[in-house]
Amino acid sequence: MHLISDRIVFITGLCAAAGCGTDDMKAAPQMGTGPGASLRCDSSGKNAWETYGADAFVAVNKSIFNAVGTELGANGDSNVGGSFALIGTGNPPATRDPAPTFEGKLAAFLVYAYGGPTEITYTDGLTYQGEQDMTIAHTGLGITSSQYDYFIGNIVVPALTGNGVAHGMGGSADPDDVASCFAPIVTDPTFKASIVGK
Amino acid sequence: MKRAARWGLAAASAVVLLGLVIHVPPIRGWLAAHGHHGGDSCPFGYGTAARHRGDPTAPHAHARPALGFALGTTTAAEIARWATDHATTCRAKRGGTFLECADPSASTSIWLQLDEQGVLEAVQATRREPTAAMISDAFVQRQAELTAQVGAPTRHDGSSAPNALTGAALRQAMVEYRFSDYHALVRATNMGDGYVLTEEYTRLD
Repeated sequence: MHLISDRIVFITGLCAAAGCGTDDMKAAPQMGTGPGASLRCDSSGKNAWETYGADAFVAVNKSIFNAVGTELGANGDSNVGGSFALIGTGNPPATRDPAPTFEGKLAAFLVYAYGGPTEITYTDGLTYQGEQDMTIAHTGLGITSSQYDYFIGNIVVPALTGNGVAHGMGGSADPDDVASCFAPIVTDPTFKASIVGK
Repeated sequence: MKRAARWGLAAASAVVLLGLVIHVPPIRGWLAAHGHHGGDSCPFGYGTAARHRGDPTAPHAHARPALGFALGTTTAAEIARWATDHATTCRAKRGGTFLECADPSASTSIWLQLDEQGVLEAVQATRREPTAAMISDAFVQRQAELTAQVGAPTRHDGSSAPNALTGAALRQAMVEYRFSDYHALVRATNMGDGYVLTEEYTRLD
């Protein structure tokens, strides 16, 4: 089952030689150019994409979507705000993508941001671009800082740890990959500012 | 004859109007707060979400505490008194079945979800502080309170010690209490630019 296919096949040999670790991929992942490409996970000394690979990124992405659905069903918009409920409505324009497209775009963004290729083929068979303008993607949603915090702390972090991302006390003996190679992107003030209050 | 028809029409109109008005969110909230329960469904879509389902094989909780309230027991009127006593501002939403409360002095936001009878069924809270010690203390205190009231946590992960939380962004401590009729989840997280305590308490059926 090839959930995400790397579109740039010529890199395959290089990555395979480097041991990128997604055995069930037709085309193994490559070193990308996203902001997390240079981050190094405690557990491997490689970036998140190289360390965990496509299947894990798909699993995390789907866990995020499932958790948002559960959250909206249980608590409505109290914690995560109303923006998720607007997906597919087109009002504001940032919400015009239907849920499956949004899911594919989020997967592509995560892959790109954490060192993977700039383009993926997601589980729906469609191709998505990872390099996306977060400000445009969130304009008109009015996401608050506390909603962002809740989403990261209670949706994203559990999605990572629940899918096997190491979250120890740090270092090679007790690796904390959540902190070392995932956190710097989503806790970066500039990144957060591109999403909150738009 | 005409007078009787006019009265009849007026009475019918009043009944229809009353039937419409009692479904408007603020009126429904007021009715719930004053003990008028009504039916479970609202034809205008103002009803509350379906009740949360628990695992029937899990044990029952001895109590269902939630930030000093008791799920399944605390009423809207008691919450209103609490808000007054604590100088906390609450905003009613969804026909009064949902209260959003803010306590600026403690950097805390609280959301209280009531059922159709105006009884508390879920609470969520977030608190943001600049130091790990403040969130760590709050986490430890909450864990101790919950453990004393419902027993040992069913799941825990991470360390809430200040030096553990400060170690890196997204360091997180979590403690969970899961019963057939009650669920509580508390998390302390290093958000990079501060520390956040999130709490969720849910009455389950």
